[in-house]
Amino acid sequence: MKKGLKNLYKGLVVSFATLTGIAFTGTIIANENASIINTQLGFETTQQIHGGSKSFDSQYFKSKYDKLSDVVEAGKKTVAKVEEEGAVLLKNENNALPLADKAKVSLVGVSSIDPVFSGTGSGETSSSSFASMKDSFKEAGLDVNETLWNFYLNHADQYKRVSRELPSEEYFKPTEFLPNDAPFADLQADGTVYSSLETYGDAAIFTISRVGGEANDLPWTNKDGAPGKILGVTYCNDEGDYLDLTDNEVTILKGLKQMKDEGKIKKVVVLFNSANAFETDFLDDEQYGVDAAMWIGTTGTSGLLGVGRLLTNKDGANPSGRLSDTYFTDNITYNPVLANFGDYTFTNGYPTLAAKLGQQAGRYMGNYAKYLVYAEGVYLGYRYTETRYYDSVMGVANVGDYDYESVVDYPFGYGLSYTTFSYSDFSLTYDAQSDVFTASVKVTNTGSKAGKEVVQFYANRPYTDYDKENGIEKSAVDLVAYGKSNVIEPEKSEVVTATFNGRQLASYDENRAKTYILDGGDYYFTAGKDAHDATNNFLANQGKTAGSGMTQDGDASLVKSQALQFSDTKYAKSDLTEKEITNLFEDGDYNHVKPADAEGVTYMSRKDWEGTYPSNPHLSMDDKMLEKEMAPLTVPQDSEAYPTYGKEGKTQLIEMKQDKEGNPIPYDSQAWEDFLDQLTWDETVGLVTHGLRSTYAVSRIGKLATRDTNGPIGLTQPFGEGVNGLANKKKQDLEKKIYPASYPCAGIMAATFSDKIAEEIGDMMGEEALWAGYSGLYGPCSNLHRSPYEGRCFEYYSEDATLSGLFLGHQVEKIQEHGCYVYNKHFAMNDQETNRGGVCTFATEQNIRENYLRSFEYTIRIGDAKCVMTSMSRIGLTAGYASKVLSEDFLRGELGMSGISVTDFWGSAKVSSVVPVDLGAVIYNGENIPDGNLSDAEVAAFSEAYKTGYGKLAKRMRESAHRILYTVVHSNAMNGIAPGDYFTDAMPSWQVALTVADITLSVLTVAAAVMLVLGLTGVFPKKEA
Amino acid sequence: MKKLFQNRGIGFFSELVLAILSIVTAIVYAVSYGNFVNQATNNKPSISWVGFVFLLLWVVIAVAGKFTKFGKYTPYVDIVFIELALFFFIYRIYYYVSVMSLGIDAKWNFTFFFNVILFVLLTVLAIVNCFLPQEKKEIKE
Repeated sequence: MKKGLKNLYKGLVVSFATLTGIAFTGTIIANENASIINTQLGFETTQQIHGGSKSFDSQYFKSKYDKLSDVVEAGKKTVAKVEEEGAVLLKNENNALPLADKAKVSLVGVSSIDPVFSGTGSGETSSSSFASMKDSFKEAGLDVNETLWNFYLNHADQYKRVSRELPSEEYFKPTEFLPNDAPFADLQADGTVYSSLETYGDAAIFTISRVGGEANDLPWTNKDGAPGKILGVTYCNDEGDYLDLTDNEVTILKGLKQMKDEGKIKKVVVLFNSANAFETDFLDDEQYGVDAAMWIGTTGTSGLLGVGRLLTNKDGANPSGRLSDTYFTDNITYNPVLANFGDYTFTNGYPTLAAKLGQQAGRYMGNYAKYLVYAEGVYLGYRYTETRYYDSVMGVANVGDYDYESVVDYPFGYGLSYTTFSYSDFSLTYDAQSDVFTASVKVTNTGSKAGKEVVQFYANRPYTDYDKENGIEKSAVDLVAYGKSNVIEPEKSEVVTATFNGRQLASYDENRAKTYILDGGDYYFTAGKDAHDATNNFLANQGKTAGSGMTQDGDASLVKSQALQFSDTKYAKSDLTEKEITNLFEDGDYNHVKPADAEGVTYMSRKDWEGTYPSNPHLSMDDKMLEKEMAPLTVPQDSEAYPTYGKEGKTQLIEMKQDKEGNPIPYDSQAWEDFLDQLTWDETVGLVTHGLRSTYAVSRIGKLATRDTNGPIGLTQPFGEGVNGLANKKKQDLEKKIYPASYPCAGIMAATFSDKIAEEIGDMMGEEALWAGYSGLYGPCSNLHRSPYEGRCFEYYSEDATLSGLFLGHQVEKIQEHGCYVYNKHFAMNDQETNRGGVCTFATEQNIRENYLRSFEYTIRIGDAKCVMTSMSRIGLTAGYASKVLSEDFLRGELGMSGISVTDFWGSAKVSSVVPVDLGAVIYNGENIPDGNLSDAEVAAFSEAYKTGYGKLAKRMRESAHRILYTVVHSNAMNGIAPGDYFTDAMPSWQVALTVADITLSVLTVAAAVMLVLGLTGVFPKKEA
Repeated sequence: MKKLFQNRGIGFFSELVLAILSIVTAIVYAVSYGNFVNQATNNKPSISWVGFVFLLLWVVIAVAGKFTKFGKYTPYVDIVFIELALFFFIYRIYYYVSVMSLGIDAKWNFTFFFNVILFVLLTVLAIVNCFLPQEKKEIKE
């Protein structure tokens, strides 16, 4: 055989053999993960056989739109409207705003061309179609300085936000993070640009942007001046405070001020483009000369259109947003939370857990030695600032040196309008039978422009001797309800009414009654324009005036009282489930679990503000704590009988939706038990071991896989990717490039203080879910803004659990009306990103219940939120995903949540990389599914391990299956499935293709080998004589 | 010994290098991943002992083969075993790769990349070796 031919055949044999090996290996791997591939890529593994009546309408959840383009348009309009109603006017001197029609404006700052539309991480929404600031403001009627705009465009690389390089961002892309704006000198150096500022000098609109996101808290400097948690970051200024002006931003403001003094520009307007509360004290500093300022948050798809309309008062657009957080003048100095926000490691040797346990160190493992103490207690945000102010004016002992105006720039609920409003005729009624209060106030527009007003109703509860003796802390002012007027014309009035429940006035007594109590005494209520206004009203009612140390006089005529009797039984039982409410979270308090010789934590107390002001307590750990935290989560064996499996029956899931009369079949009904008996053991195992952004398909009983995915401020996946979505069914967005709306940050949403807006957002998101094929949404989020440096502020609504919960409840209700169940997250106490994978979070039970669980509670109460996603952090020493008290006793026991509890992302070290977390143990402790899919080998191992001897676990697995099936049958996943329909198996096309490839390559390999052998032996081609 | 190396082509010597590299790869592989439990319950990669054995087995077969008339065909045996070892390596490591690629806060390490480089190098060399002459008289042909 000629050498050339020999080498050719050799080459073919080697190539085909290699390809065959790759194909076989790939096939084995792919088949092992077939369920994941099918779910994520939307491959059908079943075929639907229509056995039901052809006239039956199986579209249980319908869209009001016919075309995807209409959905997209509606989404943009909703976003603009939310921004228009949520943006907060912080300052407006000399009627700087609104700007005149056709005003010539300069958009100053590189953020003008590159605003922050969204936070980063799993909730980051796409920027494929965001309206630019220039286009948005032009549409609002402004004449925009193109020279300056082009300057920034041409120098975009030089001035863009700088990426920070951190290991944690390998997964969540860094995004341009650190501000790196062009200093004013650079604008001055370019004569054309500088003179254009004067030409377009009706207003200089300077945008200051900041970014936060999942896994990325914002840098700050702690009180001792040491650098904040994020290492290797170039800080913005010498102090390292990300939420303060950078040196370049200072030069810009000073430069603009100078131009204003020289008469070259008329006004300076600042826009805060950040979900996180900026330190705004510079707004009143004369050296910067800021005339007007507005907080616009992160603006989403088309929020800037709303901002433009507000700036020009277009069609009467008038700012009506109110701050959803307290703005501290200096967080490091005055915000008590900052003493305990960040990275803290247990002392006395436990940081070296790697050595102790003999395992490889890793990020999650390190988090086991991390802690966080909510030493500020219940006094979060305005509950601290207003209560200490109240006590200060009332002359309470141990208040210490407290000057409200030094501490607070803008109070919770603050916001200006282009008009003014007055309140009168405040009334309060109480129906003891229903335990409902109704509050109303007459709002009169005393200005010259039409506008909407937010009325905030606050309560001042008595801080009694019982409270002081039993360690119950109580804020002097609590938001209980709110209402937003319609547009009120000048000189016209409207009565704004809201209701709230008496249960909201209860306090949690963890020491004596160990349940909720209602203090006896006089309760005062008022209608306020913000939390401070409300506090001043309460103080005025106590006879205090500005002369008594108040910042200004209050209005006692806006205060009403209601006397209530003490009771430790009235709210001791859940009104949702009748379950007795008692202490569940004692172990969440360090003082209950600490080493015997360790100093405990002193939580901030109203009894002694000065003496209990938080500092970092430097906690230690002992073997007992470590053992509790680190004990591998295992399932105890037992001798309980297993449930019934594989019972004969042909009932399909669709038949569990409603009975023959059309009534929903109750969760706890015999019909459901009979249906569940049909499930086989393998099917049950399949349901509880597959939860990566989906629920598992069991086609035999008519359960298809669902699509459950992100995110809190907008659906993150393109419409066309949802196999069961209307976009796909109507063959629109075949290229999968059209995204649902990106909404403004949750703080802006909450700042609307409008149930109507909440419902509009929910309705729009629900519609988008139908079109994008979502049956479940990972969101919204009920964690709180504990600190302004929290990375995920853009996903969380407020520092106030009541505002968060009330708003969310209305939003969630509407989302779910479209058949999309929500996974409210992160349950619970995931209020910082640093060390979130396991940090031990300590707080009092009162604080846990009244603040951090309250928003979750209201979302279920009001919106019937179906599901939750648990947190990776720990309450005390127990992780959110493995806490029976959290998932079972509280969530199901007290709140009666019917749906699914899913872990946070499971695939990454299975949530915990030190303790080999067993999914069985996690389910045993109250979870239903992991946010991950076990491989077929892992599923086989799970099945084998728990097939016998674990009856209690088997029952929990059945319950998980029940919750999954119950949730899904009432969702849009059942659209198109009629009673009588059933499913048969179908091999997905990719498996067919792989099989064909394997066979083909094998044949080619053999053929090439045969040719080589024939050639070498001279059989073919024949040897030349 | 002299007879062993007599009339040997470049392929013989490259196969020698291949053998040494294969032994090194096997040792590194075992040291890197030999201690971990089955990756079905732990997200750390575990060793494929079958692959490990293949990395060494072909060396034994090739050496034995060199003393027979089939010595010139040993490169084909080499490549079969080496590629099989590679596929078993991939099979054992793919889950780790997926977790590291998708995991939150996941960190790649040097060990993984070192093993990958060794296996790839081995495979490429084995393929090249198939085309190199084993005996000097082959060159003359």
